[in-house]
Order: sequence, then C-alpha cells, then structure tokens
Amino acid sequence: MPTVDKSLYEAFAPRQLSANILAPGNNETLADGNRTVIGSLASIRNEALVHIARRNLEDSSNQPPSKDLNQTIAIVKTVDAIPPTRAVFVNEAYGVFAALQAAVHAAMDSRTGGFGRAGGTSGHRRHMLGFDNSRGMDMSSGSGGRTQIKRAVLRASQEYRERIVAQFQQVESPNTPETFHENEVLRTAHSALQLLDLVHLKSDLPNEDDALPWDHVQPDYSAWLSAHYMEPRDEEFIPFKNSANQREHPLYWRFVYQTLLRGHLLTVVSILKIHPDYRAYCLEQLSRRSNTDTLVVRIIELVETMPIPSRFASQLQFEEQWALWKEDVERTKATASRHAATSRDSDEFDRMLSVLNGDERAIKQVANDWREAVSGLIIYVHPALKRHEVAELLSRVNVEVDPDSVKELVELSIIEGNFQRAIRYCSKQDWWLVSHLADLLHHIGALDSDNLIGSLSGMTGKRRSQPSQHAPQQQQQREWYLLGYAQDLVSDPAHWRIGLEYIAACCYSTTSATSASASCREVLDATVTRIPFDDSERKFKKLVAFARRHNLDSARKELHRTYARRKLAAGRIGEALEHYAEARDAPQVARIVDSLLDARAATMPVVDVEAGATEESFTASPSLSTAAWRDIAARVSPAAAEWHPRLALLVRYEQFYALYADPSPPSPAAAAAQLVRIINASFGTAAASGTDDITHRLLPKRLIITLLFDALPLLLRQSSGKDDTCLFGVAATNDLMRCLEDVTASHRSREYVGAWAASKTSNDGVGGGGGGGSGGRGSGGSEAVTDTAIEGVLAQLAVVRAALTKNLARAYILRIP
Amino acid sequence: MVATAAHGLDYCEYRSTPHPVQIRLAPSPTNLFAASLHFIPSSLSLHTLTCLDTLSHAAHKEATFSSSVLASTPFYARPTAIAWANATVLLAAAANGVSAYKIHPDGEPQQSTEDEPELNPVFEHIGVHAPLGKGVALNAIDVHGLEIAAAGDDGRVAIARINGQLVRVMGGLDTSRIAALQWRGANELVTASSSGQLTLMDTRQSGPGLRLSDQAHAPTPLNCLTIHPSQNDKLATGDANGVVGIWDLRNMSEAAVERLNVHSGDVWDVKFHPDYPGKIISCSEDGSICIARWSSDGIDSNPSWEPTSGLVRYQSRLHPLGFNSIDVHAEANVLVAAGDGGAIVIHQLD
Repeated sequence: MPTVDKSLYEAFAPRQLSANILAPGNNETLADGNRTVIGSLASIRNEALVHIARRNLEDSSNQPPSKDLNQTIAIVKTVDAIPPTRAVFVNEAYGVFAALQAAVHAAMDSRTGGFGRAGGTSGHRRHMLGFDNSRGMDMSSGSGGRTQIKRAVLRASQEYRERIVAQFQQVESPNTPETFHENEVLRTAHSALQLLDLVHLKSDLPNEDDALPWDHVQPDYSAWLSAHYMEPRDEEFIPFKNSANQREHPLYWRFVYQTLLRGHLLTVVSILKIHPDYRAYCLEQLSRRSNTDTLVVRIIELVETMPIPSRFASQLQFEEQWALWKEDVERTKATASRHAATSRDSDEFDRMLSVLNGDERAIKQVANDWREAVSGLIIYVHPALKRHEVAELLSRVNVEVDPDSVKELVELSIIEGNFQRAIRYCSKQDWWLVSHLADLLHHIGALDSDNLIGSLSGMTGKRRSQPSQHAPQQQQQREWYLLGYAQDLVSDPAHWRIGLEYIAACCYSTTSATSASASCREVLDATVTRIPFDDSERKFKKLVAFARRHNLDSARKELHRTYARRKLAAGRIGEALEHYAEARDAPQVARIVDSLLDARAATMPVVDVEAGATEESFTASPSLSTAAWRDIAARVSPAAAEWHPRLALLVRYEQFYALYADPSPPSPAAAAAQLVRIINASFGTAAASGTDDITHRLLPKRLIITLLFDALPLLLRQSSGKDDTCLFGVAATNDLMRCLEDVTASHRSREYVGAWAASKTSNDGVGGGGGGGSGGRGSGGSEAVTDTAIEGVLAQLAVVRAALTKNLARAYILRIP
Repeated sequence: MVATAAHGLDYCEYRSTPHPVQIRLAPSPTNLFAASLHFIPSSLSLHTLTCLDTLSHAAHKEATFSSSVLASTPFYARPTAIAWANATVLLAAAANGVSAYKIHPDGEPQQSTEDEPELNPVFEHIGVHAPLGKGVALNAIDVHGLEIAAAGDDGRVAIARINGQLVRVMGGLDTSRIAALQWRGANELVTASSSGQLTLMDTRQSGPGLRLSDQAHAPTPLNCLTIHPSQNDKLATGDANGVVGIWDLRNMSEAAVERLNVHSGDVWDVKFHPDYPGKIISCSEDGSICIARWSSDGIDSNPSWEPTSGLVRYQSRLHPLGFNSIDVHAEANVLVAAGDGGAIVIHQLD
C-alpha cells in the first residue's frame, strides 16, 4: 500500500455547499436588498435548512428575517456520515456481518440443543441476524461450539478484509481529503483485522488443514508486516536496486538486515550473492585456485539451511532441527574472527551471525522499528512462538510510536490484547471499524462485560417512564457501538434498510430478554417509525414487513396510521380504511365508516310527503359513490369485521344493499331479514338490553334514520300489493318502531335528525370535519342545517311511522310473529 | 468487472445505487442488456451482462458472468416501473408520467448529470407524457405493440400510444391500489390490486371490468402478476404473505387459485420461464429467489401442492436482504435479479 500525502488536507479548502435555491452569481432575487438567504443547521443528519427570507430594510433591530411564504426550502447535507464512495463496501460488509450472526446463531443453537430462549422465541430465529449475550459470549459451555464460533468469526474477519481490499482499490490514489481519509481508514481497518486474526482469532483454533498440525505465529506475522509496512521502504530502495555497484550503496546493509529480520531469506541470499566477497569466492572456484571457505558463503549456507517451522510436521521435529542449526550458527560465529582480516565487511557479517544466533541486542540494533524487531525476535529467538505470546515481545523491544498515527496505536493495542484501547483509537477514525471490531470481539468473548449507559435518542423517555424495570437501562458495548453505526446508516437515505438490520441485530438475546436487548428494541421501535416513506409504496411495505418480522407491533401500527393519513388526504378512502384497520385505529375507522354510510344516505331519494311515497320513488340507479362504498365494504376482511363493530355494520349493510338492489324474489325478503339483523345487532332489543357488546350501542343515531328509510320501500312493497307476504313480522316491526321512537321521542331528536340531514346534504365526504363516535358529527351538523330541513326529515319519518303501523297491523292479521 | 461467487447463485455483485426497484432484460435474442430502475437516488441504469466462459460452464456446470453499467441517467420524479417497448425503446413510469428513452448501447458510456441529462448518448430521452394528468403518480406499466397501459395511484388505468396520444382512461372505481398490470392480448388487461383481487378489463368496453378473487382464502394484497407465455388464461401472482398464486381465468365466477407457499415475506416479482413455463420464478423480501415446478394441469389434478417437491431456493449467504425484481432471458436461459443494497444477481438456469 503506497503512502499518502498529508499535504492534501492543506491543499484543499473546505467543501463548498450549494443549496441550489438560487443560481450562482449576482442574483436579481437578492439584488433589490429586501431578500436574503438564511439557514439553520440541524444537528440530526448533518443537514442545514436553507431558504430565502424577507428582510425589512428599515428595521435596524436584530430580529431575524421573516420567512417568505413563497420560498423554496432546500436541505443541504453538510457531512455525509457514510461517503457515497463507500456504498458498495457498506452493503457488502453487511452481508458478511449478517452471515456471521447467522453462523454464530447456528453454533449456539447446536451447542445448546436449541436456543433456549424464554417465551418460545425459536420462531424468531429465522428473522434474527444477530444476537447478544448479557455477559458477552459464554465461552465455557462447550469447546465445540466455541471453536465453531471462533472459526465463524475468523472467516468473517477474512471476508471483511477481502472487501476492504476491494474498496481500497477504488481509493488507492487519494486526491481529495475525503479519499485520503478513506484510504487511511481502510489501512487501519485491514491492519487491525489482520492482527486480530493472527494474534487472537487463530490462537487455540484447531487447524482444519492436516498438513499444519502445530501452530506458530511466524508466517502470519511476516505476512502482516509485508502487507502493511513493506512498500514505503521498498520505494526507498529503488535507487539502490538500480545502482550499478549495489554493495557500495549506503543502503546495501540496511536492505540486508531488513529482509533478514522480515524473514525474506531468498532475498537475503540473492543480495548476499552480489557481495564482492561472494563474487571473489566464485571466481576462485572457477579457477580452482583454492578451496578456502569465506564468511559470506557460510552465512549464505546458514540462511539457506535455516529450518522453517511450517515445513515440519511437529514442533518437536522442528526444535530438534533448530537446535542443530543453531549449533552451526554458533560454530560459524565462533570462527568468524578468523575471517576478520579477509573481508572489509567482517563486522556486518558478524552482526548478521548475531542476528541468526538470536542475539536480541543485535536484532534491536538493526531493526528500523518495533515491528521489525518483533519480527526478528520471532524468527531468530522464538521461532515456535505461539500467537498469544507476541504481546510479551513488545516489552523486549523499543516501542516508539507516532502519537498521531491511529493505525499504529490500534495495532499495538490489539497485539497487547487491550481491546478497549483499540476501540477508543479506532473511534477517532471510523465508526464502521469500531462497531464491527466490537462485534467480532464480543463473539469471541474478548470484549469486557462493562456496560454502557444508553444515551441514544429515543431511549431517555422510556427509561424515565419505566424506572422500576431496568433502571438505569444499560447497553452492552457491542450493542452500543452497533447502534451508533446504525444511526449513521439510518440517517442516510441510501442505507436505511441495513441500518435497521444492524439495530435489529442488537435486539435478540441468546438467553433471555435482557435489559440490553429491551433497550435496543426501544431504539428499533422508535427508529422504524421515523424512516420517511419518500412517497413510495414499496418502501412503506418494506418497513411494515420489517416491523412484522421483528414483532414491532406498535411501530407497525404507527406506520399504517401514517400511511392511512396520507391516503385519506389523497382521497383514497378505501386504502385509508384498510390501513387504519391495520393500525387498529378504532376512532378513525368509525369515522370513515360513518362517512361512507353518510355517503350512502346522501344518495337516498327524498320521499315526497305531499305526493305520498311509493316503492318506485326509491329505485335509483347506483351512483359513483354507491359503487365506491360498496367496493370498500366488500373488501373488509372477516378479521377486521370481527374487530370493529362499525366495520361489521358496513359489511352487513353492504350485504343488505346487494339484496335490496335486486328486486327479484326472494331478495326483498332476504333484504328485510338482513335489515332486521342489522337493527337487532346494532340498535335492537339485544343491543338495547345490554346483552350485546356495548360498542354496538355507541353507533350514531343518524344511521338508524338511514336504516329506517332503507326499510321504507320494503314496507311499501307490501302495501302496494306487489307481495302478498309480509316482509316484516310483529317482532321485527316492533324493533323498527323502537328504533324510530329512539330517534323521534328523544329530547335530542332534532339533533339526530339534523345530523342525518347534514350528512345527506354535505358533499365533503370523508375528508370533512366532525369527530367519530356517537353524535359527534351530528351535533356539529345539526347546527348547519335549517329548521326546514329538519322538519322535512321529521315529516319523512312520519311516513315511515305510518308504514310501520300499517305493517304491524298486517303482521298481526297474517299472524306473522 | 470480475464476478464474485455467491452462495447458491452464480454471480452477485453490489452496485453503488443501493435501491433497485425493478430490473428488466431487453427483448433482444442476442444481447444481454438489462435496465434497472433505482429509487435512491432516482436513476435509470443500463447494464450489459456477459457470460465470460460458456465452455467452462458446459464442462463444470458453472458459469462466470460479468456485468457492467453502460450508462445511468438521473430521474426527476419517484420512479416506479419500467418496461421495454422493443429492443431499443425503454419506458419508465414515475410520479410525473411515462418517460420514453431510445437506447443506444453503442453510445460512448458516460454518466449524465442533472445539468445535462440530454447529452447522455446511451439514454436518448424521446418524450414524457402524463396519461392520467399531472399529479397522478403511476404505479405500474406494460406495453403491447404500440400501446402503453399505465395504472395510476388513483385506481385508474390509462391506455396511450407510445407517441403520447391518450387512447382512453378506464376504471377509477377501484378503491384499492393497483399494484401490477399486464396486457392479455391486444384488447384485454389484467390488474392485480392491494385488495387481493384481479380485474380483467376489456379495453373496448367501459365499466370497471370483471373482478376475480380467491374465494377460499382471506384476501391478501397482491404485489405482482405475470401471464403464462402460451396459455393466457393462466396467470401467476405474488402476494404479501409470500404466496405465489396461480389463477385460472377460464372460470371467473369460481376463482380457482393454486397456492404455492414458497416465501416467508412479500413476493415482489414473479415470472413464468418463457421457454419452460412449468417453472415459476419468484423473488421475495425474505432474500430468496425460488423456482417452483408447476404443471398447467395442476389446478385440476393436484390441488394440494407439496411445497417441498420441485422447489429450488436460491439464497446468497452474503446478500440477506430482499430481492425486488427478477427477469429471465429466454435464449440465454439466464436469470437476473436486483435486490436491496444494490445487489445485481445473474444466474445460469438449468
């Protein structure tokens, strides 16, 4: 990875934001002097609201400019928490994260023989991408599960690094402060995760590869060093490599030692073979002039024969071979003084032999930094060093760290196993790294079990309202960091979806509903309802599906309620009713149903009292609104009808209307029976005596009037002689008469009648004012109608009364009970 | 772009536009071009898909795909649906109406900007019209010959010609939302609504059309529909409960719906395989793509369909989010899908 030029930060001025509410340059809108642009910063989402305002030139006070009614309000994003260039990486990394949670889940499941969550939560398992444990990962209950989890974490760490490398290719040559910062973040993240792998994750992890039955840190440490600290020095050596006489170059021995300490033995050999001593030895060999050994040749032989741990099947075999090799080194070093006069580089050769012999002082002397020193110690002093022992070497080298280098500080912290410090340093750079590092550490049980007091928005109120349950509610570190990252994602319109998934990953516990998971659920509950729909049905459905998947019932209802409000405002009454019913918003459902029935009342023909009523005067063709309310009523689900009596009334009424509209027998009789059932269920004897649900009796009285007028043509059908049978028996007629008296004999009869008249004459439909519940609309509506209209309705009710009286007599005569 | 292996899927790659709403393959027998519609930011992209090594596929039963974005163009209104009128004309429905684009795949690839969208050499904007009037957002669109059918947010369906000439407006009495529509021949349209009903409309007649609903089950909102490529009395729908329903239009009074419980979340898109209509391909919010084997005699002979038999489920380990749209290229026998997070999936079907 190449170095980056920090001067980039100085070279670039702060990014200029444009609200795009005015064209750039001298603008006429502002030129007359009474207009200005004002803005306010919103702390949430890093946004600013900017708009044009009116300025009073004569007002010298410090009053802020007033808002212009015709202004354009623009939202300017000041800072992107998630850079757009990182969009692919963020999504890919989430895939790895989710796969890890699923793998850990499966491992826990297999370890415990079921998840063991209280309350039968196994049904949630497929919906949960993450989980937490109130005490971090319990690593004591089964080595098989622990190994499985550790392996899953290791795999996730490696997959994160693959994606970091892919992302790094996009910002390899940073040319803006943003890409420069991104470059640094990716370097730190890759290095931190690689060190976590090699020091902690692979430690005590049985190797799946039978060819490597014993574990040692050497190759992985060298790989990490080469990946992160090779290229800068490599660039330095370019002039040396291009030199005609490389040995004479001042960097020759530096290069030899560096490659030696890093374990690049082939490079060491190749560079030693261009040494003049070796060339002279070769010439002597060609001319067969002598057979004398030289020091450089001995060193080359030693380097070439050095035992490499990975080539040995067991640690014992390696150590036996290593001991023999070390004896060779010691013998060579003991005889090195004899070659002092034959080479002008005898001191350097001696130092090389000291390094090969494991002389710590020599290693530290030739090492450029602590990383190379540690590498030298691993290779030449403790070649079979275990992974967890690397930290011990740090105390034996001179660790000099650039205090401004977050990367280096993080690296040291991870090697030392001080993960809290590592996370603290990571938080100076990037929240992605913090949250994902914390997640990995949590799963291997390496994160302290210290809790953090939740301080995220949306939780404070809940804490106060539930002081006795979990006071104060605490969050696990993993959850806290993940929630922080998730909030960045949620605030970004492009990443809200995975932001919710990250929050959801904090919500499930492996043991029971802990306070931590409960507080995360509160955050999730509060967050889901704050995601804007962006006027998209698909987005709304996805939010509802998410809420349903995670059993966020209140959030789901709130989503439906919000959507229903929008649909109602747009005049889509059917959809509004559907969503209000889903939201279980009983008052709104009642209001809409009442309005639908009022719309039906509005289409009812008026009885001409003077001319007398006939059946024909009621036969009107269905109007548009009739079709609409019937369509809506036909779509009410059985479950919804069971939930709300007003919906049940709507369904029954639609069934009645279907029979009513069909003049052919036996529809009139069935319509009459259906009407009686409605009356009985809602206003009749059963309801009035209190045997039915009390909510039935809360139905508005104006609906009784509608039903009575609906009954009139059926009553008139009999009196006109079209039908010999009596559609309403004595009991049914009595019920209808009782309903009529409820309206006309009440001291509020004019109010009830006025409400019906108002609903009939009103054209405002559902979108108008008026409250739900009994008489709410009626009391308001009766004020708007004239006394003449009320008298007219009362006169029409008198016609109904007369028809009922005739029908009662007829029912008695025909002995119809 | 080098293909990356996905668990169970041949190719899965993320794009920087994270919310693809729909993906549709151009009806070209030779080229694999896919248009994708993105919600945030609102944009339209043209992808070219290539199978890098078909011989390898034959030998190793695996294919290596690559995909690259030829061009993207921003969209100025909330996009909802796209449809190819032919191999070179693409229609996109949005809150402001229907936009038509002439596609020039050989144009110099470049990203158009908000300032100069018309300079995009790949997407030549050839017109926009609002068949249902300004302010009425369009939910769904389909093309048959020269006629476009577009369903509005207000429950109406507009029939217009590609040149923008309005033929007629139908419906308006549907109080539910029309989620999908498709032509069924030259004069008939089928719509699927959020009330769980299908409506068969004859474009030559006025009136609300014939309604069809599943009489045996509680109505569930429908999200998508597709008509059988050869038997146009059969169609498949996807609903909010994860059910793919196969409907028989021969009997409108007694709805015969075969229900395939293949998903656990909203089914966002469903297709009959164009060459093997016995395969019904669906994608869902549950993050899976399923291929269910189905017989056209199934409704009569096998009402109790076993969900475990003849079902192939594809799910990428690294893409746990939902898939929003799928399409199948008949000649190449290739499935493409677009999912949340900007995932583009290409899979060689057996």
